[in-house]
Amino acid sequence: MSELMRFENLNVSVSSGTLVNDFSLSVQQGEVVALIGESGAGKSTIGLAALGYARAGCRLASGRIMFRGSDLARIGQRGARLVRGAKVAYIAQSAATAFNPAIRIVDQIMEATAVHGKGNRRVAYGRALELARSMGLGAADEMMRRFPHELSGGQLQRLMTVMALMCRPELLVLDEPTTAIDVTTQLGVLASLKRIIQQEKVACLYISHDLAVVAQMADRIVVLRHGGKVEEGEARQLLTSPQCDYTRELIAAASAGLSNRTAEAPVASSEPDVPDAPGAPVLEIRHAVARYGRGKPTLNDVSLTVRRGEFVAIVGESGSGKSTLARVATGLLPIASGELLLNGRPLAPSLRRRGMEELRGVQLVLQHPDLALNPRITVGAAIGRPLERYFGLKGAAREKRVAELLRLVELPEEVAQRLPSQLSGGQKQRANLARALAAEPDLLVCDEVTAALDSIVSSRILALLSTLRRQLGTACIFITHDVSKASKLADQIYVMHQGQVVESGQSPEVVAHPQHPYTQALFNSIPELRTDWLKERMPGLAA
Amino acid sequence: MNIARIFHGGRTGSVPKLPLIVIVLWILVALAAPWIAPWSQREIIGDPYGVPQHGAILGMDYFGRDMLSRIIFGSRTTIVLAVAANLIASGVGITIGFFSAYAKGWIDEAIGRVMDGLMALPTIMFALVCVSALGSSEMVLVCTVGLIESVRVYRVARAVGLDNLARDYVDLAHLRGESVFWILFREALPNAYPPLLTDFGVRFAATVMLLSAVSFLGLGVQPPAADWGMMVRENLAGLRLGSIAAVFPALAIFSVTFSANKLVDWFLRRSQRDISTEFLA
Repeated sequence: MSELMRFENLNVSVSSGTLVNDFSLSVQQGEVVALIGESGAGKSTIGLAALGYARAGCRLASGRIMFRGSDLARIGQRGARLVRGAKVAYIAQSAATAFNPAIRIVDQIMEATAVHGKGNRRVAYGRALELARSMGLGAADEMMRRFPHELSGGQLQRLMTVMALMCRPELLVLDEPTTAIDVTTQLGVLASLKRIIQQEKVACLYISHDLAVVAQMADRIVVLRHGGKVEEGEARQLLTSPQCDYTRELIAAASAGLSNRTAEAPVASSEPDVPDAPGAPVLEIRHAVARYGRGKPTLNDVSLTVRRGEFVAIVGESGSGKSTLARVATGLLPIASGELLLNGRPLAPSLRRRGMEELRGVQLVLQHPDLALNPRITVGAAIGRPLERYFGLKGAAREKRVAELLRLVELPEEVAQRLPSQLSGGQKQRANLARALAAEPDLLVCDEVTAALDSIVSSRILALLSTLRRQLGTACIFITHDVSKASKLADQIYVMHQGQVVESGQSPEVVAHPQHPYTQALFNSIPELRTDWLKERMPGLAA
Repeated sequence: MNIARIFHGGRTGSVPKLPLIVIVLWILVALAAPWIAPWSQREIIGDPYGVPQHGAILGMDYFGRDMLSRIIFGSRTTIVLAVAANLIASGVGITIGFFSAYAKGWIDEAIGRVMDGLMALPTIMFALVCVSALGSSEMVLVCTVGLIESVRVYRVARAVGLDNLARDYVDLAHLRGESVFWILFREALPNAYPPLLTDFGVRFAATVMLLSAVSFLGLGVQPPAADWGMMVRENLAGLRLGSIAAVFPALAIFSVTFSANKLVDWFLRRSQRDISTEFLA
C-alpha cells in the first residue's frame, strides 16, 4: 500500500481563532480512516480540507495537504476543480438537503462525469446503474428518474454514494453519512457502503460522532478534540485498549448506551428507595387518536399508563408518532378521540380548558435545548416564571427556589443571571430540566432530550435524570429513538411504529425477548461497539 | 479614525459618532429654534430665490424668506410629526400583525383581507379624504399618515410574528397557560426587534415624504409654517432658475434619515451581539 493523502501540520482558522490545530495524518490507498469527535472537534473542517475547501469565513491558514504530488491547500480554484469530484469525492450528512430538489436524481448523478469529461452519457449511465445495484437499490432505473422529495432518506443516502463514486475517485470523504437516517435503515446503508468501499477499493475519510458505527467501517480511527488529534490507532486496538483518558471517556459513553441482550436489570429499579409497588396511575391515555390537520392519524388508537414514580420509555424511529404522543400527553395537540386521565380525573383535550393545577401536573422538556429557552430571557427568569405562575412565588423567595433548582440540576447559581446563549448545550438542557421541575410536576415528559447533545454530555444528562428520579420520584415519559438508552433507564418500554404501539412491557423483558417482528428488527439494528458486529448481522459481507 | 468607523461605529460596538451627533444636533435645534433662528419663518427679507446675504447664509426661498431660519423651524414640525406618525404606524401595525399571527385561522384571514384592501387604496388620495373629512389639523395628519403606514408595518410584523410564534419556548409558554399578552409581548416581541427596528428606520424617510406630500396639497401643515418636505416641493421650481434652495431641506431630510438608520443598525448589532455571544468551553 502506498500513501494517497498526507495532511502536514494543517491549521484552519476563522477570524476569532483556529478550528483545526496542527493536524497531521496520512491516508493509505484503499484505507478507511475514521475521524471521530464531538461537535466542534473540527472533523468536518478536516473532511472539507481534504477537498482543498474551507467553508466561508474559514481559511486553510498553514500546513500542507499533499495529494498525488500537489498541495490541495494551495492548488487554487482551477486546480481544485480538477480534483474535486474526480479524484476526491464528498458525501454529505443529509442527502435530503444536499440534493437539489428541482433536478432529477439521474441528472445530478451524471453531472460529475459530464463536468470531468469521463465517458459518454450511455457509459456513465451504465456505471450509475451498476453502482446503484451494488448499493442494494432494486429498481434503480426508475428510481433515478425521480426527484429527491419522492425518495426516502435511506435511498437518497445510497444515491448520493453512487453520485460520489461515478468518476472512480481515489478518496471518498463521508461526513456523518448515516447520522440523519433511522437505525433500521442505517444497518442496510452501512452494509452497502461497506460492500461498495471494498468493491471499488476506494480510500475513505469517514467522519462520525458514533463510535459504534465507526467500529464497523474503519481500519484506523483518529480521535479529535478541539481541532487537534488526541489519539490515533488501528480500529480494534483503539477500541479495546485506548491510551488517552478522553478516548476512554468516549468509549465509556458509547458503551453505557449499549443494550446488552443479557437482560441486565435497569439501574433504577434496583434502587431501594424507589417504591417498587406500582403506584396509582398518574397519566392514562386510552385509545388516543390524533392527527395534524385533516390527514390520516399520526397517532392511531394508542393506550398508555404511567404510574407514580414510574419511568416509561417510548421508542421508535422518526415518523413513528412518538413526538406526537408527547404533544398529546401535554395537551399541545388535542386528541381527536380517546381519553386522557391525569391522576384519575379526565383531562380536557385542549389546553385552554385545563386548569392551573392540571397544567402544572404535566411538564415537557424538549429536544433542542437552544430552541426551548427564549434567547432574550435570562435562565433565572425562565426558571422563575413557572414558580410565579403555579405557586405565586415572588422576589427573594422566588430567587431562593431558583437557586435550589439550579443546584438540583447541578448548575452553578450564577447561571441564573445569564442569557441562554452564554450556556453550553448541556447546560441549557439542564436549565430546561430545572424549569420543568420548578412546577413540581406529577409527570415529566422528556422528548428526545439527549438527541441534540454529544455523547459524553448526553450520558451525563441521563445520569442526572436517574438521580433526579431517585430523589424526587417523579413519573417520567422518556421519548427516544435510542433503544439502548431507553432500556437502561426505563421500567416500562413502549415500542411505536407508524403511529401505533406495537409492543409494550417491562423493560428487561422487552429487551430480552422482543415479540413483535418490528421490535426485533429495531433491536438488531443498533450498532454495537465491536468491530465484527456488522459482519455478524450481514453475513453476506466479504471478510 | 477612519470614515467607516465614524459612520458605523467600531467593531467594539461603540455608538457610531457622526449619526449620533447629527441626531442630537437636530433635536437641540428643534428645541432652541426661536432663539437661534436669525429671522422668523414667515418674514420676507429679500428677493425670491435670493442669493446669500446679510447673514442669511443659505439664501432665500421662493418667497424671499430666509432658508436657514425656515429649516431651523421646520425641524420642529418635520421631526416631531414624522416620529409621531412612525410610532403610530409601528404601534398599530405590530399589535395587529402579531395578534393576527397569533390568532391564525379565519381571524387572521379576515384581518389580512381588510389590510389588503387598505393597501390597495392610493395613499395620498386616502390621506386627502381622511384629512378633508376630519378637518385639517396636525393631529389628524399624523394619525392618518400613521395609519396608512401601519398597513405596511402589519405585513412585516405578521410575517415576523408567525416565525417567532412557532418556537419551542412559545409552545412551553402555552403549556404554562400564559395569556395572549405575555406570549406576544414577552416571549415573541423581544426576539422580533431586529427586523421591526430596521423597518422603523427605513420607514422614517417614507413618512417624511408622505407628510410633506399631504402638506403640499394644502392639508396638514399650513403655510407659512415650515416643513422640510413641503419646503423641497415649494422650491423645486427654483432649480430651473438656477437656485439651489430646494437642496437644503432635502439635505436636512437626508441627514436625519441616514443618521436614524445608522443608529438603528448600531442598536441591532449591539443586541445581536448580546444574543450570540458564543459560549467558549
